[in-house]
Amino acid sequence: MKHSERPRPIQERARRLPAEIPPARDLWPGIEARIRSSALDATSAPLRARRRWLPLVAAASVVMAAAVAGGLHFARGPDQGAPDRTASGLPPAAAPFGPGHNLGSRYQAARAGLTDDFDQRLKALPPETRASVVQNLETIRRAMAEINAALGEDPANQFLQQQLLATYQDELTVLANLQRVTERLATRNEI
Amino acid sequence: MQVHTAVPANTGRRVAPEPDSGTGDRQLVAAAAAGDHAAFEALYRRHVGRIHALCLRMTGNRAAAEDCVQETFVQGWLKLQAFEGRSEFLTWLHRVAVNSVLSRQRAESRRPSGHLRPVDQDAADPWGANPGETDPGTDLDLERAIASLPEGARNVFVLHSIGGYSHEETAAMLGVAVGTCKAQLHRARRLLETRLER
Repeated sequence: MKHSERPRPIQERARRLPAEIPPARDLWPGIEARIRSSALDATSAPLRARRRWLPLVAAASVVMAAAVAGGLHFARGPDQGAPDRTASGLPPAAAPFGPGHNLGSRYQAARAGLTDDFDQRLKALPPETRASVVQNLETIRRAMAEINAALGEDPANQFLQQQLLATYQDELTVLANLQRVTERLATRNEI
Repeated sequence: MQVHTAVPANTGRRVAPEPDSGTGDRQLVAAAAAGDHAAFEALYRRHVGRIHALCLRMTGNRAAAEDCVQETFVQGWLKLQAFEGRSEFLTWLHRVAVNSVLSRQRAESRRPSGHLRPVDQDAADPWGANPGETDPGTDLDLERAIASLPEGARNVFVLHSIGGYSHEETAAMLGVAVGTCKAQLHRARRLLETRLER
Protein backbone atom coordinates (compact mmCIF):
# COMPACT_ATOMS: atom_id res chain seq x y z
CA MET A 1 0.00 0.00 0.00
CA LYS A 2 1.26 3.45 -0.87
CA HIS A 3 1.61 5.37 2.39
CA SER A 4 1.36 8.67 0.61
CA GLU A 5 -2.20 7.84 -0.42
CA ARG A 6 -5.05 7.66 2.03
CA PRO A 7 -7.65 5.09 1.12
CA ARG A 8 -10.62 6.78 -0.49
CA PRO A 9 -14.02 6.09 0.97
CA ILE A 10 -15.74 3.15 -0.61
CA GLN A 11 -18.47 5.33 -2.05
CA GLU A 12 -16.03 7.63 -3.83
CA ARG A 13 -14.05 4.71 -5.19
CA ALA A 14 -17.21 3.01 -6.43
CA ARG A 15 -18.22 6.12 -8.37
CA ARG A 16 -14.86 6.07 -10.12
CA LEU A 17 -15.22 2.53 -11.44
CA PRO A 18 -15.45 2.27 -15.23
CA ALA A 19 -18.93 2.87 -16.57
CA GLU A 20 -18.35 0.51 -19.46
CA ILE A 21 -16.73 -2.91 -19.56
CA PRO A 22 -16.77 -4.53 -22.99
CA PRO A 23 -17.32 -8.29 -22.96
CA ALA A 24 -14.28 -10.42 -23.74
CA ARG A 25 -15.89 -11.58 -26.99
CA ASP A 26 -18.41 -10.26 -29.47
CA LEU A 27 -21.82 -11.45 -28.32
CA TRP A 28 -23.72 -10.06 -31.30
CA PRO A 29 -23.56 -13.17 -33.55
CA GLY A 30 -25.35 -15.24 -30.93
CA ILE A 31 -27.89 -12.51 -30.23
CA GLU A 32 -28.59 -12.07 -33.91
CA ALA A 33 -29.02 -15.82 -34.38
CA ARG A 34 -31.58 -15.93 -31.59
CA ILE A 35 -33.41 -12.89 -32.93
CA ARG A 36 -33.59 -14.37 -36.41
CA SER A 37 -34.95 -17.61 -35.02
CA SER A 38 -37.40 -15.84 -32.81
CA ALA A 39 -41.07 -16.40 -33.42
CA LEU A 40 -41.53 -12.82 -32.26
CA ASP A 41 -39.43 -11.20 -35.02
CA ALA A 42 -40.65 -7.64 -35.42
CA THR A 43 -41.26 -8.13 -39.13
CA SER A 44 -43.89 -10.78 -38.49
CA ALA A 45 -47.36 -10.49 -36.96
CA PRO A 46 -49.33 -11.48 -35.00
CA LEU A 47 -47.38 -12.30 -31.81
CA ARG A 48 -47.08 -15.97 -31.06
CA ALA A 49 -46.37 -17.84 -27.83
CA ARG A 50 -43.03 -17.05 -26.25
CA ARG A 51 -40.28 -19.61 -26.37
CA ARG A 52 -37.67 -20.16 -23.77
CA TRP A 53 -34.09 -19.98 -24.96
CA LEU A 54 -31.02 -21.91 -24.02
CA PRO A 55 -27.73 -20.13 -23.42
CA LEU A 56 -25.75 -20.01 -26.62
CA VAL A 57 -22.92 -22.48 -26.94
CA ALA A 58 -19.89 -22.30 -29.22
CA ALA A 59 -21.15 -21.55 -32.72
CA ALA A 60 -24.82 -22.31 -33.19
CA SER A 61 -27.78 -21.22 -31.11
CA VAL A 62 -30.13 -23.90 -29.86
CA VAL A 63 -33.78 -23.42 -29.19
CA MET A 64 -35.32 -25.37 -26.37
CA ALA A 65 -38.83 -24.26 -25.71
CA ALA A 66 -40.33 -24.65 -22.31
CA ALA A 67 -43.77 -26.11 -21.91
CA VAL A 68 -46.21 -23.29 -22.51
CA ALA A 69 -49.95 -23.35 -22.27
CA GLY A 70 -49.84 -27.10 -21.81
CA GLY A 71 -48.02 -27.72 -25.09
CA LEU A 72 -44.93 -29.86 -25.04
CA HIS A 73 -41.98 -29.03 -27.26
CA PHE A 74 -40.39 -32.36 -26.99
CA ALA A 75 -40.88 -34.32 -30.20
CA ARG A 76 -43.51 -36.92 -29.89
CA GLY A 77 -42.33 -40.28 -31.11
CA PRO A 78 -42.17 -43.93 -30.26
CA ASP A 79 -40.67 -44.71 -26.91
CA GLN A 80 -37.18 -45.85 -27.86
CA GLY A 81 -35.01 -48.02 -25.69
CA ALA A 82 -31.88 -46.06 -24.92
CA PRO A 83 -28.44 -47.72 -24.73
CA ASP A 84 -26.86 -47.81 -21.30
CA ARG A 85 -23.89 -45.72 -22.41
CA THR A 86 -22.72 -44.03 -25.58
CA ALA A 87 -19.50 -44.94 -27.35
CA SER A 88 -17.74 -42.10 -25.54
CA GLY A 89 -18.77 -43.45 -22.16
CA LEU A 90 -21.10 -40.50 -21.57
CA PRO A 91 -24.59 -41.58 -20.59
CA PRO A 92 -27.09 -40.78 -23.35
CA ALA A 93 -29.16 -37.62 -23.18
CA ALA A 94 -32.46 -39.31 -23.85
CA ALA A 95 -34.53 -39.21 -20.72
CA PRO A 96 -38.05 -39.09 -22.05
CA PHE A 97 -40.82 -38.31 -19.67
CA GLY A 98 -43.97 -40.22 -20.14
CA PRO A 99 -44.62 -42.59 -22.99
CA GLY A 100 -44.18 -41.26 -26.48
CA HIS A 101 -41.91 -38.27 -25.71
CA ASN A 102 -38.26 -37.81 -26.70
CA LEU A 103 -35.90 -34.89 -26.73
CA GLY A 104 -36.06 -32.74 -29.85
CA SER A 105 -33.61 -33.25 -32.69
CA ARG A 106 -32.13 -29.76 -32.34
CA TYR A 107 -31.34 -30.35 -28.69
CA GLN A 108 -29.82 -33.71 -29.57
CA ALA A 109 -27.69 -32.07 -32.25
CA ALA A 110 -26.50 -29.35 -29.88
CA ARG A 111 -25.64 -31.88 -27.21
CA ALA A 112 -23.83 -34.08 -29.72
CA GLY A 113 -21.73 -31.09 -30.72
CA LEU A 114 -20.68 -30.58 -27.13
CA THR A 115 -19.97 -34.22 -26.35
CA ASP A 116 -17.52 -34.77 -29.20
CA ASP A 117 -14.20 -35.74 -27.67
CA PHE A 118 -15.82 -35.62 -24.26
CA ASP A 119 -13.44 -38.18 -22.79
CA GLN A 120 -10.36 -36.43 -24.17
CA ARG A 121 -11.56 -33.06 -22.90
CA LEU A 122 -12.18 -34.51 -19.47
CA LYS A 123 -8.72 -36.08 -19.37
CA ALA A 124 -7.14 -32.73 -20.28
CA LEU A 125 -8.44 -31.12 -17.11
CA PRO A 126 -6.54 -30.86 -13.83
CA PRO A 127 -7.71 -33.62 -11.46
CA GLU A 128 -9.66 -31.34 -9.15
CA THR A 129 -11.46 -29.68 -12.03
CA ARG A 130 -12.20 -33.04 -13.62
CA ALA A 131 -13.71 -34.23 -10.35
CA SER A 132 -15.91 -31.14 -10.22
CA VAL A 133 -17.20 -31.72 -13.75
CA VAL A 134 -17.95 -35.36 -13.05
CA GLN A 135 -19.68 -34.51 -9.78
CA ASN A 136 -21.74 -31.80 -11.43
CA LEU A 137 -22.90 -34.13 -14.20
CA GLU A 138 -23.78 -36.79 -11.66
CA THR A 139 -25.82 -34.28 -9.68
CA ILE A 140 -27.66 -33.28 -12.84
CA ARG A 141 -28.27 -36.89 -13.89
CA ARG A 142 -29.71 -37.70 -10.48
CA ALA A 143 -32.02 -34.70 -10.76
CA MET A 144 -33.10 -35.84 -14.24
CA ALA A 145 -33.86 -39.34 -12.95
CA GLU A 146 -35.84 -38.04 -9.98
CA ILE A 147 -37.88 -35.59 -12.03
CA ASN A 148 -38.53 -38.21 -14.71
CA ALA A 149 -39.70 -40.63 -12.06
CA ALA A 150 -42.09 -38.01 -10.72
CA LEU A 151 -43.32 -37.25 -14.24
CA GLY A 152 -43.90 -40.92 -14.81
CA GLU A 153 -46.62 -40.67 -12.17
CA ASP A 154 -47.85 -37.22 -13.18
CA PRO A 155 -46.86 -36.62 -16.84
CA ALA A 156 -49.06 -33.54 -17.25
CA ASN A 157 -47.38 -31.67 -14.38
CA GLN A 158 -46.09 -28.48 -16.01
CA PHE A 159 -43.86 -27.50 -13.10
CA LEU A 160 -42.03 -30.81 -13.32
CA GLN A 161 -41.78 -30.47 -17.09
CA GLN A 162 -40.19 -27.03 -16.70
CA GLN A 163 -37.83 -28.30 -14.03
CA LEU A 164 -36.76 -31.14 -16.32
CA LEU A 165 -36.14 -28.77 -19.21
CA ALA A 166 -34.14 -26.51 -16.92
CA THR A 167 -32.07 -29.49 -15.84
CA TYR A 168 -31.31 -30.38 -19.45
CA GLN A 169 -30.23 -26.77 -19.88
CA ASP A 170 -27.94 -27.13 -16.88
CA GLU A 171 -26.28 -30.15 -18.48
CA LEU A 172 -25.62 -28.21 -21.67
CA THR A 173 -24.17 -25.37 -19.60
CA VAL A 174 -21.76 -27.73 -17.84
CA LEU A 175 -20.74 -29.28 -21.17
CA ALA A 176 -20.29 -25.84 -22.72
CA ASN A 177 -18.12 -24.74 -19.81
CA LEU A 178 -16.03 -27.89 -20.24
CA GLN A 179 -15.52 -27.05 -23.89
CA ARG A 180 -14.64 -23.45 -23.07
CA VAL A 181 -12.15 -24.42 -20.35
CA THR A 182 -10.40 -27.08 -22.43
CA GLU A 183 -10.13 -24.75 -25.43
CA ARG A 184 -8.52 -22.16 -23.20
CA LEU A 185 -6.11 -24.77 -21.86
CA ALA A 186 -5.20 -25.77 -25.42
CA THR A 187 -4.46 -22.11 -26.28
CA ARG A 188 -2.21 -21.67 -23.26
CA ASN A 189 -0.30 -24.87 -24.04
CA GLU A 190 0.46 -23.56 -27.49
CA ILE A 191 2.18 -20.42 -26.18
CA MET B 1 -6.79 -12.82 -21.13
CA GLN B 2 -8.43 -9.44 -21.30
CA VAL B 3 -7.98 -7.30 -18.20
CA HIS B 4 -10.83 -4.90 -17.75
CA THR B 5 -8.76 -2.14 -16.20
CA ALA B 6 -7.79 -1.20 -19.75
CA VAL B 7 -11.15 0.56 -19.99
CA PRO B 8 -10.88 4.29 -19.26
CA ALA B 9 -11.92 5.13 -15.72
CA ASN B 10 -15.16 6.90 -14.99
CA THR B 11 -14.69 10.62 -14.50
CA GLY B 12 -16.80 10.49 -11.35
CA ARG B 13 -20.11 11.32 -12.93
CA ARG B 14 -23.18 9.29 -12.18
CA VAL B 15 -22.81 5.98 -13.96
CA ALA B 16 -26.49 5.22 -14.29
CA PRO B 17 -27.84 5.70 -17.82
CA GLU B 18 -27.88 9.38 -18.59
CA PRO B 19 -30.00 11.13 -21.12
CA ASP B 20 -28.07 11.06 -24.35
CA SER B 21 -28.63 13.41 -27.22
CA GLY B 22 -31.61 11.20 -27.93
CA THR B 23 -31.58 11.64 -31.65
CA GLY B 24 -29.24 8.77 -32.46
CA ASP B 25 -30.95 6.23 -30.23
CA ARG B 26 -34.47 7.31 -31.18
CA GLN B 27 -33.82 6.84 -34.87
CA LEU B 28 -32.18 3.48 -34.33
CA VAL B 29 -34.94 2.33 -32.00
CA ALA B 30 -37.58 3.30 -34.54
CA ALA B 31 -35.77 1.41 -37.28
CA ALA B 32 -35.19 -1.63 -35.08
CA ALA B 33 -38.82 -1.68 -34.01
CA ALA B 34 -39.69 -1.88 -37.69
CA GLY B 35 -37.54 -4.98 -38.00
CA ASP B 36 -34.16 -3.50 -38.96
CA HIS B 37 -31.56 -5.88 -37.52
CA ALA B 38 -28.68 -3.61 -38.51
CA ALA B 39 -30.21 -0.78 -36.50
CA PHE B 40 -30.54 -3.03 -33.47
CA GLU B 41 -26.94 -4.13 -33.90
CA ALA B 42 -25.93 -0.48 -33.82
CA LEU B 43 -27.82 -0.11 -30.55
CA TYR B 44 -26.04 -3.20 -29.25
CA ARG B 45 -22.60 -1.83 -30.19
CA ARG B 46 -23.44 1.48 -28.58
CA HIS B 47 -24.65 0.12 -25.24
CA VAL B 48 -23.15 -3.34 -24.69
CA GLY B 49 -20.30 -1.94 -22.58
CA ARG B 50 -22.63 -0.46 -19.98
CA ILE B 51 -24.99 -3.43 -19.98
CA HIS B 52 -22.11 -5.87 -19.64
CA ALA B 53 -20.58 -3.84 -16.80
CA LEU B 54 -23.88 -4.02 -14.94
CA CYS B 55 -24.36 -7.75 -15.54
CA LEU B 56 -20.75 -8.59 -14.69
CA ARG B 57 -20.84 -6.74 -11.39
CA MET B 58 -24.25 -8.08 -10.38
CA THR B 59 -23.46 -11.70 -11.23
CA GLY B 60 -19.76 -11.66 -10.28
CA ASN B 61 -19.25 -14.28 -12.98
CA ARG B 62 -18.10 -13.73 -16.54
CA ALA B 63 -20.02 -16.58 -18.17
CA ALA B 64 -23.23 -15.66 -16.35
CA ALA B 65 -22.75 -12.02 -17.33
CA GLU B 66 -22.42 -12.92 -21.00
CA ASP B 67 -25.58 -15.01 -20.81
CA CYS B 68 -27.43 -12.14 -19.16
CA VAL B 69 -26.18 -9.64 -21.74
CA GLN B 70 -27.42 -11.87 -24.54
CA GLU B 71 -30.74 -12.41 -22.79
CA THR B 72 -31.05 -8.64 -22.24
CA PHE B 73 -30.65 -7.78 -25.87
CA VAL B 74 -32.87 -10.62 -27.06
CA GLN B 75 -35.59 -9.51 -24.63
CA GLY B 76 -34.95 -5.94 -25.70
CA TRP B 77 -35.63 -6.92 -29.28
CA LEU B 78 -38.74 -8.89 -28.38
CA LYS B 79 -40.16 -6.03 -26.31
CA LEU B 80 -39.04 -3.19 -28.54
CA GLN B 81 -42.46 -2.58 -29.97
CA ALA B 82 -43.73 -2.09 -26.42
CA PHE B 83 -41.06 0.57 -25.69
CA GLU B 84 -42.98 3.80 -25.65
CA GLY B 85 -40.02 6.16 -25.42
CA ARG B 86 -41.05 7.74 -22.12
CA SER B 87 -37.53 7.08 -20.86
CA GLU B 88 -34.26 6.96 -22.70
CA PHE B 89 -33.60 3.67 -24.45
CA LEU B 90 -30.53 2.85 -22.35
CA THR B 91 -32.45 3.48 -19.13
CA TRP B 92 -35.12 1.09 -20.31
CA LEU B 93 -32.53 -1.46 -21.44
CA HIS B 94 -30.80 -1.14 -18.08
CA ARG B 95 -33.99 -2.26 -16.37
CA VAL B 96 -34.34 -5.18 -18.77
CA ALA B 97 -30.78 -6.18 -17.84
CA VAL B 98 -31.51 -6.01 -14.11
CA ASN B 99 -34.58 -8.20 -14.60
CA SER B 100 -32.52 -10.65 -16.61
CA VAL B 101 -29.95 -10.95 -13.83
CA LEU B 102 -32.60 -11.26 -11.12
CA SER B 103 -34.44 -13.96 -13.08
CA ARG B 104 -31.23 -15.90 -13.41
CA GLN B 105 -30.43 -15.51 -9.71
CA ARG B 106 -33.92 -16.72 -8.72
CA ALA B 107 -33.76 -19.67 -11.12
CA GLU B 108 -30.31 -20.71 -9.93
CA SER B 109 -31.41 -20.67 -6.33
CA ARG B 110 -34.10 -23.24 -7.18
CA ARG B 111 -32.15 -25.57 -9.45
CA PRO B 112 -29.82 -28.47 -8.68
CA SER B 113 -27.15 -26.33 -10.34
CA GLY B 114 -27.28 -24.14 -7.25
CA HIS B 115 -25.39 -27.00 -5.63
CA LEU B 116 -22.87 -27.43 -8.44
CA ARG B 117 -19.23 -26.62 -7.89
CA PRO B 118 -17.65 -23.90 -10.07
CA VAL B 119 -15.45 -25.50 -12.71
CA ASP B 120 -14.28 -22.58 -14.81
CA GLN B 121 -11.98 -20.70 -12.43
CA ASP B 122 -11.67 -17.78 -14.83
CA ALA B 123 -15.42 -17.39 -14.71
CA ALA B 124 -15.26 -17.69 -10.93
CA ASP B 125 -12.85 -14.71 -10.86
CA PRO B 126 -14.16 -12.46 -13.62
CA TRP B 127 -11.49 -9.80 -13.15
CA GLY B 128 -8.59 -12.12 -14.07
CA ALA B 129 -5.78 -10.12 -12.49
CA ASN B 130 -2.41 -11.51 -11.51
CA PRO B 131 -2.49 -13.15 -8.09
CA GLY B 132 0.31 -10.92 -6.89
CA GLU B 133 -1.61 -7.68 -7.29
CA THR B 134 -2.81 -6.75 -3.82
CA ASP B 135 -2.72 -2.94 -3.73
CA PRO B 136 -5.98 -1.92 -2.06
CA GLY B 137 -5.96 1.32 -4.00
CA THR B 138 -6.58 -0.36 -7.36
CA ASP B 139 -10.00 -0.62 -8.91
CA LEU B 140 -9.39 -4.31 -9.44
CA ASP B 141 -9.38 -5.02 -5.74
CA LEU B 142 -12.64 -3.15 -5.28
CA GLU B 143 -14.18 -5.02 -8.23
CA ARG B 144 -13.15 -8.35 -6.75
CA ALA B 145 -14.37 -7.37 -3.33
CA ILE B 146 -17.74 -6.42 -4.83
CA ALA B 147 -17.89 -9.76 -6.63
CA SER B 148 -17.36 -11.52 -3.29
CA LEU B 149 -20.34 -9.85 -1.61
CA PRO B 150 -23.49 -11.82 -0.82
CA GLU B 151 -25.96 -11.57 -3.67
CA GLY B 152 -28.47 -9.22 -2.05
CA ALA B 153 -25.82 -6.79 -0.82
CA ARG B 154 -24.01 -6.93 -4.16
CA ASN B 155 -27.16 -6.16 -6.14
CA VAL B 156 -27.90 -3.11 -4.01
CA PHE B 157 -24.33 -1.84 -4.04
CA VAL B 158 -24.00 -2.18 -7.81
CA LEU B 159 -27.24 -0.36 -8.53
CA HIS B 160 -26.98 2.34 -5.87
CA SER B 161 -23.30 3.04 -5.32
CA ILE B 162 -22.04 2.32 -8.84
CA GLY B 163 -25.14 2.83 -10.93
CA GLY B 164 -26.21 5.95 -9.11
CA TYR B 165 -29.83 4.92 -8.59
CA SER B 166 -31.63 6.31 -5.55
CA HIS B 167 -32.69 4.05 -2.69
CA GLU B 168 -36.27 4.20 -3.96
CA GLU B 169 -35.27 3.33 -7.54
CA THR B 170 -32.97 0.55 -6.39
CA ALA B 171 -35.62 -0.94 -4.11
CA ALA B 172 -38.21 -0.82 -6.88
CA MET B 173 -35.91 -2.52 -9.37
CA LEU B 174 -35.03 -5.27 -6.92
CA GLY B 175 -38.55 -5.70 -5.60
CA VAL B 176 -37.60 -5.00 -1.97
CA ALA B 177 -38.57 -2.44 0.62
CA VAL B 178 -36.54 0.77 0.83
CA GLY B 179 -35.52 -0.13 4.38
CA THR B 180 -34.21 -3.49 3.20
CA CYS B 181 -32.29 -1.74 0.47
CA LYS B 182 -30.64 0.62 2.93
CA ALA B 183 -29.77 -2.23 5.26
CA GLN B 184 -28.21 -4.21 2.43
CA LEU B 185 -26.20 -1.18 1.37
CA HIS B 186 -24.88 -0.68 4.88
CA ARG B 187 -23.94 -4.35 4.99
CA ALA B 188 -22.20 -4.11 1.63
CA ARG B 189 -20.12 -1.11 2.66
CA ARG B 190 -19.15 -2.72 5.94
CA LEU B 191 -18.08 -5.94 4.23
CA LEU B 192 -16.14 -4.07 1.56
CA GLU B 193 -14.29 -1.98 4.11
CA THR B 194 -13.37 -5.12 6.02
CA ARG B 195 -12.20 -6.97 2.92
CA LEU B 196 -10.18 -4.06 1.61
CA GLU B 197 -8.47 -3.30 4.91
CA ARG B 198 -4.68 -3.61 5.09
